[in-house]
Amino acid sequence: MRSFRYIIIGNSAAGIAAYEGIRQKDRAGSVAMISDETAPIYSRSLISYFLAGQIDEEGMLFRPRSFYGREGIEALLGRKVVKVDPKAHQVMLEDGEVFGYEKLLIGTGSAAVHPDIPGGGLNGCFVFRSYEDAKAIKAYLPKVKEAVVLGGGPVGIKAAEALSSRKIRVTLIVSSGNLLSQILDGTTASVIQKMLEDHNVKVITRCDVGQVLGESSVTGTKLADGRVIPCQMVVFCKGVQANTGLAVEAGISVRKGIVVDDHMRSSIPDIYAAGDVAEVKDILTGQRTIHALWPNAMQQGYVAGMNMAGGDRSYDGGFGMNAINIFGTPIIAMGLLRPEVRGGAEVLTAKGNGWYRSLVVRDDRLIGAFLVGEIDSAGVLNHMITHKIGIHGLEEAALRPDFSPARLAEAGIEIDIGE
Amino acid sequence: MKVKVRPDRCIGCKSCEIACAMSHSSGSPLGIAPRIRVKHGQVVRGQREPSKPYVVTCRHCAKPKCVEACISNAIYQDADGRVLYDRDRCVGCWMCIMVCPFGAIHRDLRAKKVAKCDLCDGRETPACVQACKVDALEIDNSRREQ
Repeated sequence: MRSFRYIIIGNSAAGIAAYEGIRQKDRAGSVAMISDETAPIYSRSLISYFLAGQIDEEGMLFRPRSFYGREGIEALLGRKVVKVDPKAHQVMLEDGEVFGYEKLLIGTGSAAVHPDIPGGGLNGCFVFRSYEDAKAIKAYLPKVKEAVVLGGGPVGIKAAEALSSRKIRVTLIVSSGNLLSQILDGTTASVIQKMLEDHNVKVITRCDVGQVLGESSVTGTKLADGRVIPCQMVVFCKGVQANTGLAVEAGISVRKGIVVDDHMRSSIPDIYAAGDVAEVKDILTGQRTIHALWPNAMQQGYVAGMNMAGGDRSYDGGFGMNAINIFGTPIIAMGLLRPEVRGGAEVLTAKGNGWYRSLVVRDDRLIGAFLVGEIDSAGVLNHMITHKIGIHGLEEAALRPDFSPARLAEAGIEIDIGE
Repeated sequence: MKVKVRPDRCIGCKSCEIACAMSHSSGSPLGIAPRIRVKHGQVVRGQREPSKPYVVTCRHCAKPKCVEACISNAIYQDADGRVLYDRDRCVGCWMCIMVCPFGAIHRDLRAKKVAKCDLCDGRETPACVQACKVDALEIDNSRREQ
């Protein structure tokens, strides 16, 4: 049996960052990265850009092809871990091979939910999560003039935009009352809906697809209200579920995701978790949750890696944020924006030619920001949310597109990142 | 290496902005977004005079948030700690802008890619430092821990 000092299950943001964290502390310890995906490290967040044809296969790579070899990483790609044995410190692969580890990172991410509806398995039905999904959708495009995208979250919107940019007529079906219902309130979301509609993406809210029509391939969808929409492709963007199966079976504590402490340690010694599979602290709500976000996964992975190699780093938690482009208009949403989560907070809004901005303020602290069109100061607002910097007296300035650290400096607030 | 700002010395002349734009264009600086920017605090109309100038530019952080957030591996940190970027890889997702606490990354609207300080890669002294007449910008070669 071969053994490695470190085994990383997963080959995406958390995994690569963990590797880099490990190497900060341990220059030589052997590392294996195991992934059931065959592609070398690619950027999952880029699949919509790939589908739109904006980038090619080289552009998808998150590290050069030579990365594993150069770094001396044993890359076991296209191979699936089926069992973790914490007592023996071993992982077992689908093909029966067993590897020993001293420290293990579970960075298995999450998988797209494929709704179980009649016709959901016809040719032309896809989920949109992995590079493989994007390639399959792209290969199918010649057969498609009209597509239905299910799900009004960031992934659904990105899929709709990418398909639309390929001259496909897209209908976006949203179960809830508005787009991005996990992030935004209806009023704010209507700004985005209008942008999509202005670019010929049809948006239908408060509706679900009841059935996908067709013999062997998709010819249409039947909505719950009986309406039929002809289409040759259906893309399910109905959320993701953390890949916690391995952890559950190994007896690791799991709720929505793998429960970790601030050092990214799971409930079982020598096993860490990071990224979309890990449940971490939300610094705005105080609750444990999964932040399925690239930057958060990178931070968590790095902390996990450092600690796996004997370091003593903590991850303070994060909060929900996202940046998307809708037909060229940049949009950034950060923090608590929905009425259900923002509580009795005050909402300030401002708009101008080509831009819109709203800020959510509670107890003199910024807890949410939504920016459309003009986004240059988004990171400064992000910093104010993260570090709970008092916003009193700065509200008007922060609502303006030309907000900058100059305004903070004038108020005597220094941007301190601890360096 | 980074460009260190001495705010007490800055007079807000914007020579650095022009030099930066020139340095990053092959000809005219017009329309080229400078990566260093001189900002003022209070600029709301009808209120008091603009406050002291404030220079917004990349700090080349030891553990840069923009690098963490970059989904296309366009922004990276080199062995000398410089935070650089590969323009060809940038897809214009603006994640870096969302996380830079200094507001030091800008959108190049024509290219739909980001523009940030690259320390005038290939030049011995960055153009902004060379252009500053009051020594408000200087080169800082100190190394910081990651």
